[in-house]
Amino acid sequence: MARGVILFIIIGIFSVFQLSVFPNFFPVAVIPDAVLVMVLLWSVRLDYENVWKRALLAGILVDLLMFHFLGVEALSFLIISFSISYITKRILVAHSLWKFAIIPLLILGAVMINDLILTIFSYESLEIFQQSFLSQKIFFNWPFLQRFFYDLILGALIYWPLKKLEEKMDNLSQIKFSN
Amino acid sequence: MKKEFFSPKVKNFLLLIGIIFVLIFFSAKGASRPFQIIAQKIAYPFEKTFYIASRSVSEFFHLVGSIAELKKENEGLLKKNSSLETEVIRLSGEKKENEILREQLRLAPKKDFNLEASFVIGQNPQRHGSWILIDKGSSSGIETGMSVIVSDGILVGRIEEVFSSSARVILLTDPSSAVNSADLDTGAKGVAKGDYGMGIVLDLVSQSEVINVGDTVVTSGLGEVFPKGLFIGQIREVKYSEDKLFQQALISPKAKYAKLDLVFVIKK
Repeated sequence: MARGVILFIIIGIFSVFQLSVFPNFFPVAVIPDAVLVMVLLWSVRLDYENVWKRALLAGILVDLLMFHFLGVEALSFLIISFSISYITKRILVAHSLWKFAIIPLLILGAVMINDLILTIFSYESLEIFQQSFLSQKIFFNWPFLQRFFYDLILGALIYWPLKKLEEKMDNLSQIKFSN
Repeated sequence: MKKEFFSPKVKNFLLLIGIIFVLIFFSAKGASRPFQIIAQKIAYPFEKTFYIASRSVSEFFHLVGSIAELKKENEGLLKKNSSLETEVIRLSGEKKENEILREQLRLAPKKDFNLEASFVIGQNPQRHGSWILIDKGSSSGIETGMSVIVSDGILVGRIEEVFSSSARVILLTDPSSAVNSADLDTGAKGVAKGDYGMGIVLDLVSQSEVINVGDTVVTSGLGEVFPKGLFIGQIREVKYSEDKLFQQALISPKAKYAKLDLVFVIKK
């Protein structure tokens, strides 16, 4: 219960930061995807069975605060967490040092999937979506690359604090269990 | 023993995806609105606090970084100030003429607007739409569809959604935004549409109409959605095409959307 509350608060803080703090420091087109990076790092470190609830909660919270259709970001985060759990289990089991080389690629893939899903559910007609996709307004432009770079930096900054927090929550629940 | 085609993990994933699609379907019909209202009510104090606090920090860093330029800018401004004093004297005579002309063109006089000042407390961090969150809502008399301007009567958007203490404003650069507009210099009529958050396009201008680079674009008042005469921007590029029915122009907005702090809602 306590772990759930703490995670809810952390997801809430990250969502509000993305909406109300980052726009003051980054141009609109390159605001880092704070919640996405957080879900991604959880997916790298934990099994899908432990992450899907967090991904779902994070997605729904972001949808409510960012005025998307309810479920769009949840869909994106679930697909990303499932895919990343699948990849990391198969590639990174024996070579944990590879994590730090592969995480940037995972972030790139996650940002692309997230953008694609948001684009599909943002446009009223498929024609507008096709026009923007074909004119490469979605990917492969300078703001996208800048945003990916900021996501990388954010991932590097929050990786260890999130890991420490997880360990602390594990220790607390073990103490409670033994009592 | 019969081998399962899908593992329990995959089944769980597919089931969740199915539920989410159903959720999206009903949300598109407006079923999620009550939850949005609750979420906005809870998040509003945090959004406002964080936005204002981070704005102060951002401005402090900006100030520190620009100290070297400030001295130079100050000297330039002092010179400009003395020439502006002369200009003020000349313009006081033209003020009367402006009022007469505005009346003749039936442009809405700004002093007649009932304005509600609002601070910006959030911005869309995504790229595909452009909106801002303001700190006034239905409790302050804000309603959906109201026009939002900045100082000097520059239109920036309209109210799209209203909550009790906040409201979401769709900016002119949003792809869903469409404003009936007119070229103030030539009278050409068109529709100013958002360009995926990148800018504004003046579209549906008849090929027989004349539009030039540098012309000012204002709201035409057609459809009575936006008051007539609100500034939108200036034309920076005209796109000619002989085989298309309409011509287009790119507009440089007068307002800096990334630096909106204080906006005014025109109450009906």
